[in-house]
Amino acid sequence: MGDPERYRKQEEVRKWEEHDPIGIFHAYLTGNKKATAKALEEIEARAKADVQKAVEFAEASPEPGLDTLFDHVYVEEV
Amino acid sequence: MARITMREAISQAMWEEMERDPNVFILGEEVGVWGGSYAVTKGFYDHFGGERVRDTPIAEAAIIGAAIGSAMTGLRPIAELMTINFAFAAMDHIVNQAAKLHYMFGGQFVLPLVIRAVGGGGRQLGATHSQTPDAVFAHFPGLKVVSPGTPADAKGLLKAAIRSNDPILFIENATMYQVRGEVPDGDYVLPIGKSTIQRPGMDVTIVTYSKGLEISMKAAEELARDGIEVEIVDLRSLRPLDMVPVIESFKKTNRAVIVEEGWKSFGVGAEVSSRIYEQAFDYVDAPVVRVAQKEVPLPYNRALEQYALPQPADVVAAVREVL
Repeated sequence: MGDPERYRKQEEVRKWEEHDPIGIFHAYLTGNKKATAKALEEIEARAKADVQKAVEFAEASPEPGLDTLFDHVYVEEV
Repeated sequence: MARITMREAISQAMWEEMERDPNVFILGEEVGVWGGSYAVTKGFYDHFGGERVRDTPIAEAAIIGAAIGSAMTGLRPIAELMTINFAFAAMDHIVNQAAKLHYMFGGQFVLPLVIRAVGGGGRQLGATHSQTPDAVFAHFPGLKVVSPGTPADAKGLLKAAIRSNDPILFIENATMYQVRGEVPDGDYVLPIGKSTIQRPGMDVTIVTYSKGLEISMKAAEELARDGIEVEIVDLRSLRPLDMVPVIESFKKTNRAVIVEEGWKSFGVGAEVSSRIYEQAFDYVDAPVVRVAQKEVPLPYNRALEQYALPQPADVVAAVREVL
């Protein structure tokens, strides 16, 4: 979470975690034999590794030059 | 007089008005128990209670819609938008309802509604949380758009806004809450729609407001070291737009620079410079120059963000250009 969440109680968060759509979908896939728990774990691990790689790439990249300011505002030159 | 921050001045204005009039109430995201995202309503919930300091869901259209309905039926809501960028999620309510209902019902309803919205860039919040879209809202007749540049103006104008029977968008700059200034104690109320001279000078007229005032004041100090004395006019309100002090100043200096944090195209500078040409054409000694944000969605990267935002050095260069 992006803030200290002092405005709601932990039990409220836990209650809503039970309604988390990712968890529900996870249970649906395994319960209906659409995917194995192992396959889902692999997908999750791959996604985490992709994000980690992206973070490392960003941190290792040089600061963008000021001449890049207008890059990608439009596709075509204006 | 007390020397307080912009945050304290805004907080004081609301506190005093809520003490004065039981119909005034606050609604918005995290304004109650949490005390406001920028701590402006700290202590309000405990003092005034949950009935008058209402935490809402993260649903800007609902916040403004509820505020409009309660204003039409006799209350005086202060709706807080955590950032003005979220006002776009409530755009229909703001421009199609709030700005038009008094007119469309032939004056049968009044909307004593204040929308406090936090705007501005420079804090690395990314393109969608850093905008200064003040001119967008100033485009709509029926809505008033006020944006203070000093703590004293913040207090006096917000108190006036709360007492006004018109819907008012009150725009605060997120980087200015810690700015300190002398603020009159007690019931200090300013008229809405009056520009003011924040710094006297004879050489060039700078027209600005809000964050632009801070930038222009810094530029003025640097220019003064070279013997150039700029006169700074603070608009304080974009709609209504009071051109009288601007034109008076311009007739003296014959040169103007307009400074705003938002984008240049179709912006405050475009409007003000056009009115200068319309109202004081015979006094123009140099083309009016605009200082504004570069025309990009504001980048996250610190160096790029500062490069895209108007800086005191840009104002200094613009003043030298018109001299």
